[in-house]
Amino acid sequence: MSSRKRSSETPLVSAGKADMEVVEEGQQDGSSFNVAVKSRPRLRVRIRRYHGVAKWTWNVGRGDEEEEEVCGICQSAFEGTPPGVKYPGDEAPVVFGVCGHAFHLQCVATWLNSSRQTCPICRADWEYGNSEQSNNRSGGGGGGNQLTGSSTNDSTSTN
Amino acid sequence: MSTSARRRLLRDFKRLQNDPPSGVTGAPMDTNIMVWQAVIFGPDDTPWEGGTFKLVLEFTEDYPNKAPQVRFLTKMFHPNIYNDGQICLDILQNQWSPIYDISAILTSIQSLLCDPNPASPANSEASRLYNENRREYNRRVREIVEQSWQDES
Repeated sequence: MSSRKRSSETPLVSAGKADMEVVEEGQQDGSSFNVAVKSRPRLRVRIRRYHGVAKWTWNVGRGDEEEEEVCGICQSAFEGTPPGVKYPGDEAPVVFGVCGHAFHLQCVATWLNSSRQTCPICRADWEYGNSEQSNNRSGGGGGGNQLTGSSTNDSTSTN
Repeated sequence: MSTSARRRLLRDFKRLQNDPPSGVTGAPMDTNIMVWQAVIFGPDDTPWEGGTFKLVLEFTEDYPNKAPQVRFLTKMFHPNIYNDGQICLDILQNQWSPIYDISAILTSIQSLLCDPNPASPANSEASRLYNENRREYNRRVREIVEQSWQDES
C-alpha cells in the first residue's frame, strides 16, 4: 500500500522531457489520485525551466485563404527568402503599394528597375504604401510583421 | 548553378505538375531548364479541336522580370501568329508582368487560338479570312490541325 502512494518528491514526468516539480496537494490518500486528475487537476506545478517558442508571419493577405501566401514575383512564401537573400524576416521585408498589393522588397524593386513603374498585379502606377492602407486585419501596424507567441503556461499552471 | 530565374522556373515546374492546367503541358529540356518545350491542345468544340501544337519557350536570366521568347514549332494558321511561329500577344510584349508563370503563358496562348485579336495581324491571309470568310478560315484551321498530327517525330 505504501508503494502506491506518491511521495511529494517523485516527479510525475520523467526528467528531460519536462523539467518540473509536481507536488500533491490536499489529498488524504494516494488512491484518490486518478479520480482527481479526471475531474479537475489538483496538482500544483512549479515551473523550473521552459523553452519559449514563437511563430511569426507577415501580416499580409486576407487571412481566409487556405494556401500559403506567396510573393507573386518569386513565388516563394512571404516568410521565405527572395533570390539573393540569405535569411528571412527583416532582410527580406514585405512591402505594399498604395494599391494594396504586397511583394518582397527585393522582388518588386528589381521589377521596377527593369520596367515601367507599375504594380505587377493591377498595373496601377506603383507607389510604396503601407500595410494600413491595404490590410483590413487589425493590428497590422508598421511594416506588418506580426509576432505570435505560443503560451506554454496553459497546460502547466493549475489551481 | 542556381540563379533567381532558375529557382523561379523550378517553382513553375512544380506548380505545373501539382496543379496542371487543362489543355496545356510543358517541361524543361533535360539539359537546360532555361529552355522549355510545351504542347497546347486545340480547345474542344472549336475548329482547333484535336490539334496538338508544339512550342518552345526560351527564358533569360531576367525572368520573371522579362517575358520568355515563345514560338510555335508546329505550323500554324492564325491571325496573330507569324509564319515562323512567333506570337503576337500583348502579355508576351508590353503587357508582361512578373507574376505570370508558365501556366499563365500557355493558357493565354491557348485562349488566343479561338479568340484572335484583329487589331494586331501577324498573318494577313489568316486575318483577312477570319474577318471576311469564316468558313474558309475554319477549313484552313482544320487543315493545320491535321498537319499537327503528322509532325509527331
